[in-house]
Amino acid sequence: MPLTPGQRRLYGGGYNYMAQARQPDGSVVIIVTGGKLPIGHLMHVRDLWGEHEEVLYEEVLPPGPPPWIQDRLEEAGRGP
Amino acid sequence: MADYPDWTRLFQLAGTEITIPINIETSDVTIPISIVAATATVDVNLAAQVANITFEFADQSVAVFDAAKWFAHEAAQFFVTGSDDVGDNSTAVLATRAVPGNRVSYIAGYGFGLIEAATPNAVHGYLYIDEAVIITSGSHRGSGFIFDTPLRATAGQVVGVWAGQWGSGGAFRYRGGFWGYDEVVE
Repeated sequence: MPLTPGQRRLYGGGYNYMAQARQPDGSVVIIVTGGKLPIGHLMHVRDLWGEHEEVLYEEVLPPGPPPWIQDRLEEAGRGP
Repeated sequence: MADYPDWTRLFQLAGTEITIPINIETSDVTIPISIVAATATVDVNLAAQVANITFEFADQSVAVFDAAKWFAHEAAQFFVTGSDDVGDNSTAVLATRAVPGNRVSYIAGYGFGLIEAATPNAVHGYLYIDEAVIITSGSHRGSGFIFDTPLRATAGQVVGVWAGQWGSGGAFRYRGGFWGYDEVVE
């Protein structure tokens, strides 16, 4: 099975920060951010790093600050 | 300035005592060294019984990074954290990471702790690489260390942190992780 975009990021190293939350069934919810990609990836993975690793769910986290902070940055004239 | 499209000048000196003084006394000196190449190798080899290398920086714009800070500057740092419920008199994995491809991972520190109100008799943390426990530490709540010598893990190895607790009377949530930097290898 081909890797998902989030898995490619995990194994390719294109992130600086990884947060994990272990679930009661042994699966793991992961968020990876940082690196060259402005977006983050949220994944729910079964058998993480294992032979039968499977991504149960994957979501792209939008880049940049929340809209209300972005508005304030722009009003202050210091947009990213 | 003249253009030298194919210019080589070899300084090959053999002697018993060679001194090449460069003395510049001026109010403004600039010595640009610009290397633009697909591959640039600058080797400085010193073989001497006594070698004194002095860098004196007096300009506030000069920054000297140690390895960990340099890799962070180059966005090659990593921080991995995770959490799990740990049963009484038991252990659980908190955070894991497979070292990505074409990288050598230098782990610079680790830590873990109980994040709920409980009073176990003892808690232990374990940092492991593949199946081998490398670092163990413990206390009543958690602990953390910055490694004077980073641990080294290669592509495909799984680095992780366990936590264990004893005498807490129930399952409680722990959080822990490890951090360091990756060096890209070809």
